[in-house]
Amino acid sequence: MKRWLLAGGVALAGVAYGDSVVEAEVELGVGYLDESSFRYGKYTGLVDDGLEVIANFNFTSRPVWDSGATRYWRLGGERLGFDSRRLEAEAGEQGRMRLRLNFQETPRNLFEDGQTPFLGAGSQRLILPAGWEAAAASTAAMTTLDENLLDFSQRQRRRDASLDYRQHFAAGWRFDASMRRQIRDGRSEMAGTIGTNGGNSRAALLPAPVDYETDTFDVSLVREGSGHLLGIAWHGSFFRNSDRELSWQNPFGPQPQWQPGAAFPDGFGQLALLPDNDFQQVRVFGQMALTPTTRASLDLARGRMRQDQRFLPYSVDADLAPTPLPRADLNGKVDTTLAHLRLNSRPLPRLNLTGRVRYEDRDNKTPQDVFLPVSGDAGLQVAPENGRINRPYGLTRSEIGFDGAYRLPQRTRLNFGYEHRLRKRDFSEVNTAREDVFRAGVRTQRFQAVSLGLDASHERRNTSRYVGNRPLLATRVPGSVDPEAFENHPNLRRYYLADRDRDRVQLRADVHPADNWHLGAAFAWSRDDYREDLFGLDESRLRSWMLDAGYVPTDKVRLSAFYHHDRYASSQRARSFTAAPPTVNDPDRDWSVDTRDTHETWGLSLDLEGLDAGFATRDGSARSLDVRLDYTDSRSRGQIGVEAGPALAAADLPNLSTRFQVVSLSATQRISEAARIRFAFEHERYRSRDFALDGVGPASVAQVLLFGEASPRYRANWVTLSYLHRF
Amino acid sequence: MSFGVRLPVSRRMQAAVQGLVTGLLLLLCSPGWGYPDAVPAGEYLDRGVEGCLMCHGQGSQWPAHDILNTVHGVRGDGRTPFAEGQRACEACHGPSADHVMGRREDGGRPATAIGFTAAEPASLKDRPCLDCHQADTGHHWQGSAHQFDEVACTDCHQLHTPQDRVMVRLSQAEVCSDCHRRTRSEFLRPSTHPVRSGNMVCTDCHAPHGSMTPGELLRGTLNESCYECHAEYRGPFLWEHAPVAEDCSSCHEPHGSSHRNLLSRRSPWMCQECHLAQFHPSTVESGLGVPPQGASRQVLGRDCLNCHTQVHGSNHPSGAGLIR
Repeated sequence: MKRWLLAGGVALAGVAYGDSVVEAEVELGVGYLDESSFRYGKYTGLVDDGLEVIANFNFTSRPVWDSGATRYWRLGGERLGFDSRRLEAEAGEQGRMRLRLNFQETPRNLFEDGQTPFLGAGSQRLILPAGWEAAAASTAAMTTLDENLLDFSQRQRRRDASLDYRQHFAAGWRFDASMRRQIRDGRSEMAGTIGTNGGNSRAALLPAPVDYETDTFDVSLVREGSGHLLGIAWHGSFFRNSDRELSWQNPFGPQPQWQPGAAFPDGFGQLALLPDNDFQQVRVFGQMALTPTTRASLDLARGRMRQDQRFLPYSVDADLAPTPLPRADLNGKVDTTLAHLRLNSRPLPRLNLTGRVRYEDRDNKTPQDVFLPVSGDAGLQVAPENGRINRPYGLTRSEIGFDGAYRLPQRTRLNFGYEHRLRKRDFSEVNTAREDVFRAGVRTQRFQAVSLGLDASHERRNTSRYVGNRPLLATRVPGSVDPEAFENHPNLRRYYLADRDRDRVQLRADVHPADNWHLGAAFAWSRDDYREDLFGLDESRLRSWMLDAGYVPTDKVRLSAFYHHDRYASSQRARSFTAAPPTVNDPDRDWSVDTRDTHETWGLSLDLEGLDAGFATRDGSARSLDVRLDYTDSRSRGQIGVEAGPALAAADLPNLSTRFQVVSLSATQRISEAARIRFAFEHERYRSRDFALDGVGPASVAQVLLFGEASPRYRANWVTLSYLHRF
Repeated sequence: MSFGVRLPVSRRMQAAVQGLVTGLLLLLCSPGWGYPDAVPAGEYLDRGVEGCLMCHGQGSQWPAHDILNTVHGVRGDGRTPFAEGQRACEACHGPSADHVMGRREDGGRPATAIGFTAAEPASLKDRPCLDCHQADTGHHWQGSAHQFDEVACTDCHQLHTPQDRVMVRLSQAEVCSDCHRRTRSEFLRPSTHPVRSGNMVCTDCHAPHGSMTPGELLRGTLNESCYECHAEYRGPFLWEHAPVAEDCSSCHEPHGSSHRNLLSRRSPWMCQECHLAQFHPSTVESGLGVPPQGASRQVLGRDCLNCHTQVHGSNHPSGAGLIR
């Protein structure tokens, strides 16, 4: 693909002709990483210590401004020596057409210190090594685990190529077409579980394959006339996964509830990988000036999602599922409708009004059937009366609202707005939710050198009656369960469906004590209060402080600094219960969790631009030096406090923490009109503590075989020296 | 579609609201009393770019010559300010005879009709841009977040330089973070999209000139925008996870989080906010499940996802519990 793109780019380069200015900049150099670090190169691919090639280039041909020519081209490449390289090519005739080609690779390195006993990592079938000793009760009893552990790194690569074409025609017509192919490959993680219920299930984290391909197409035709714009567009997105399923050999020994053959060595589990799917959408849109001061814009879109990947069998063990599937594939179909109308007006010179109506519908036309599952490839297929019915979720969202802004004298502005939202859901605990949002704010620059802003909003969500067991009843064969039966605790209110008040306040102040000084401060506060005093998320809060400063003593020197403190807090309440009715109503089994995530970030930046080095270059131009120095320190801390009723036992958890520090220095020395030397240094340090990973090996949890990777920490120094030449 | 706005107010109040709405509609349909932020009157010089470059050429105190090295300087494109029959610098800066010929009391020159200074209203500064770029900016500019907040085109775009920083991928995020400072900090958190490394830019998701989506996203809905790069989660699945199909941001923070995979809060507690079924989903998970006190499979490793791996939906006939 890269070769194809390059060839296309070079061919395009030939389009340009005389009356053009051709400019080129090439940077070549070498970089050195002092220590191998998988996470340092998370998205750049700079993982291994040692030397790397620095190669960037940019060639452009543009018309001489008064030549009458309009043809141009550009060819660029960044980070060619890295796994995160990017190539761009563009050619066209300004005002008539253009063609763009882009290619980008993006690695994604998550961890490299995982371990797994499975052979065939990255394939669709994982098996255990010869001599594997299974254990029924605990991973710790797997006596051959340690000797059979293989290193596993979770690494993915995304390659993204796109082609965009634009053509302008007479009378304001414009045609755009683009296509994009994304290829993603590598390994991800999945969990394979075998068992009939939560009590006897046994699981293992699995190295799963990633081999995705997504093609996206967009075509549009637009006409821009005097005071109006009309367009029609088609969007298509087609996802393909080369791997349909993942099977794995059960590493655990037999459980009494499992069917014979479910355990090691004959037992296998199988799960479905993400299915192929398509989405196509047609959109018409337009804008019109109703009066010299009022414009209306309208978007109407109609789309369809489809998914008809062939189903896997109920179980990898065909003997466990004698009853066939009700259908060979889902024939999943979701029709989407979008309508958006906006009216923007300046009826008075000082008044700006915007009104909008939005309608969004997800009409899920996927057929429903009764499925007779096999629990975790280990149980017998359920009887028809215990079958499960799929729930094709549908959703309708409508919004109507307006915002206004009125300019008062003395550079002061008032903002105000209101919005009403309505959501209707299928198969949900709540059929209808209504939200009213009120907004107000003021901004002023009436004081010399000071600008102030205050914004506040209040949002209230009221929902229809919460019927907690509606999803349960909808997924069971009618008459097979008691209408009063429940799955989740009857007092649970899911946060995205619950009655809620949301309040937000934001303050911002900017001060310019002198022309070359800037001081800024901002404060934001928000609170979500779930009004019913029941189980689920009770409250969440954000408090955010920010300070920043900038100083420009001369036109060649800039200094800036910032400090930012965010604190998210949330409280939830719940009750631990079992099937027996007494526990459902036992307040002694209540528990609550208070979490607090704190983020602190501060940074300094110094820019020295065009410093005179005190002597001239050979060609007589000034030998100037550009220097930039940055320091950033970002910390996060997660605190989780647990309280439990007298019938339960609980303890607080260790804090979660991360710290990320970056020092970067770059210096570019101009040695002639055309030549520069650039030196760059970056020091990055990352530390983290996570109780779910640290000190937790593959066999630390009795019923789950983990990867055993530690929370990431690294220290890396990256130095580059390169030569830039402009032609 | 029915909004069914129920006003908990008296009839008099309802009448007042109706009157207000009628008044607003009349205002909207009116031709407007005075054109907003009209370009100050003045005389055009029509001397072409050469007249301006006498003072604003290379090496001058206020250089502007680089505009000729940009797309706006291509004379062959009849749409540009420097094309035949156009007004060159005055096409954007407005009538400038006073600026060239006149003198203020302090000896300085009066400003051009549009100086693109901080003191001028954004709608005035945007007028020359929108005269040509109405279609390029898209039809959502009027009423968009930036337009409504009076962010002018020139607050983000630099015209007198061959490389407009906001149009260059490696420098775009810096321009956006000049105002979106909180987002800048969010991208320094442990779990983020690859913006800091330059592999993604703000405009890969957002439409700064406005869109029909809250948050000014590129596609029609939040989920459609996420599916641009994560089409594998689009489905529909046989067994759907309702909030996933509805809104990715129910669980994920797009700009940055301290929890893995950009999750808003730490699991398993985040999962337990919605899943409180009998036995293990409702169990209190605490420090007793962490070594050395214990080793809970609901807390260690991938917590809930140690088993319920198909959290975005399952297409397996036995996958109702999202473990297949």
